[in-house]
Amino acid sequence: MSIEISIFEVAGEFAHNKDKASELRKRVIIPGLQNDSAILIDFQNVDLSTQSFIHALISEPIHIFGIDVLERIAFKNCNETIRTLIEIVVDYLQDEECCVPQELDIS
Amino acid sequence: MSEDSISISGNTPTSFTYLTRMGLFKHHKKNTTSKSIEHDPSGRFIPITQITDSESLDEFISQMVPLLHTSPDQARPIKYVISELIRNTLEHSRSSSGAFICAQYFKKANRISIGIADSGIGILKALSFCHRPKTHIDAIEMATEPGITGATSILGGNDTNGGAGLYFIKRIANATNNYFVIYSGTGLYKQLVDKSKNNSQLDMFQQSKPLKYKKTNHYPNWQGTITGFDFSLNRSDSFQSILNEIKKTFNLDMRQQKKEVYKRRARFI
Repeated sequence: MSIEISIFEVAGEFAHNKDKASELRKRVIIPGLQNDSAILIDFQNVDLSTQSFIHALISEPIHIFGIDVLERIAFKNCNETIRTLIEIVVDYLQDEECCVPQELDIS
Repeated sequence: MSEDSISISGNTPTSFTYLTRMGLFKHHKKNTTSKSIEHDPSGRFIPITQITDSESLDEFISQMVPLLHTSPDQARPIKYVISELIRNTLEHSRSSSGAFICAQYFKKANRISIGIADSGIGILKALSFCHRPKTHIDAIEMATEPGITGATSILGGNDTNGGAGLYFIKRIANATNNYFVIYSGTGLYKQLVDKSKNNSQLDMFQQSKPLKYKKTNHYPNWQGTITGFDFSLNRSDSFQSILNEIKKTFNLDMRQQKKEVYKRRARFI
């Protein structure tokens, strides 16, 4: 099963409101991933976003499920600017020490 | 004259008329004797506007963009910088009055200057919850490094804050050779315009070098934080090209930051 999210419907053509990103993450993305769903994040009609918005959207899922969760999250209809912002955020999240699945016992 | 009024005796300085028109005294709930004809500000300036939450930030940005009379590509970095700077204030300043923003277009220089101020706890106190800056200017410099946020001591931030907002803004200023200033407590950090540089193309070479800026820790104390950013409209670089440059430098700067923060190393005997 897959869940499709329209960023434009939630955050408009300038997707910068982190509160809306956090709400999507908590209410849709994380519960969806916990139910083994694939998540399709659609940026159709979104002209611009911010690093903070993208971070608020995908950082926690990557921290919880590990970087391989990106196999189950796809980004659709991104313009070049939004694609670059997502790539920057994904790159630095992969670089973090804390980027390990929470289920792992690393003690 | 009552305590709720401000008046100037003798010749009224133009700055008084300007500050009146920008709404400074209105926000202080002071009446003035300055009489000015209120022309339509569209395309010339945006009066001081108070922003107290995400919704008013959304509304401000959507109303501001048409007033600027810029092309969509010129508007992108302006929207980006304003959004990130005001978000910082709303999240970290703990100011009960939120953020105050204004903007002015300078026709001769073809430049838009924006200023954002709050009367919150300032960057030193905000960062000190999770880090150990010693002075106001230490805190300002720390806040502009990648991965540092007042929300957590972990480099790289937490699920809500990545600690990259001010880093992006200083890199946007650097790449586009625009003026950027942060003033908090007694600390002042200024990235200056390099007049020797070709001001029409993105400075990719400069982007990979350490930033040049002026700093001091001896300014008169400002309780809170003020940021300023100039956008030259003579430039032709796209926001996409700016982001491409930031993408190149972000990981390098983040790795450097890690080396400085995680100084402890394994001992081998």
